[in-house]
Amino acid sequence: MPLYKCHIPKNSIPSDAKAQIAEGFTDVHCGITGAPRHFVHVMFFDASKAGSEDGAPYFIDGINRAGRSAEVKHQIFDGLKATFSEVAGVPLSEISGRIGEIPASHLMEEGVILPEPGEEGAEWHTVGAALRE
Amino acid sequence: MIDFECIVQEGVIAADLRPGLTTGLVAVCTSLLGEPAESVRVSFTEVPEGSGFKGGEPSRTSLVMGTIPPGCESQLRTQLLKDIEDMWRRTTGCAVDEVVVAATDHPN
Repeated sequence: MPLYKCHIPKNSIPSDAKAQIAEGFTDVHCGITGAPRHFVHVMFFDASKAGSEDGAPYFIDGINRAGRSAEVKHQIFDGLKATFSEVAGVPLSEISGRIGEIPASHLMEEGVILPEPGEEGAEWHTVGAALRE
Repeated sequence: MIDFECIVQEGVIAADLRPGLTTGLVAVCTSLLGEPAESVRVSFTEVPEGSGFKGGEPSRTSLVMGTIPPGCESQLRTQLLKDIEDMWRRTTGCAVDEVVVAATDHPN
């Protein structure tokens, strides 16, 4: 975690732009929260119709660990929208979304139960490191 | 009701593994949570090739996202997560950093 699912109109974003958006989302999330980059998941799905309940064609459906302030969540979401808009060339008004939450204790990644936001120890940044070397 | 959505990357989890993964999820849930097999629903969502990323790089990671009945005690939930992760890795042969498991409370 986090997970960011982008629902987009079919064939509206080329592969290289998806990669740029994914890297940008990772920069935004990790820049604000300090989370290790390898925990950030980004995926794109072609939507058969408008991607959101409010009619915006592009919808970012995020899931984070619970426990961050509303201010931080807004900061993350604004950063995601700005990145998506800039890379995809889509007006901000056409991008909608939300960041839902799951308690950290309800998640297992890289073989460990995730810590609560703000309670990560030094070892947090080395979880799974040996696997990637 | 127990629901699991398995989000898998195209070309990483072969289609013929899915029945075994479904059976495994049902077995873990019925064994640990005491729920009948009929109450466990499993679906698969495939991320198209070139559309899934982890840390900004192409991803091979599966996300097994579940909702379970509210009130599950912490130790039991941890065991559930671990048993699902073990089952997924045994069945698919994936590495420990290629599977994420969630089991959060089903909204009432």
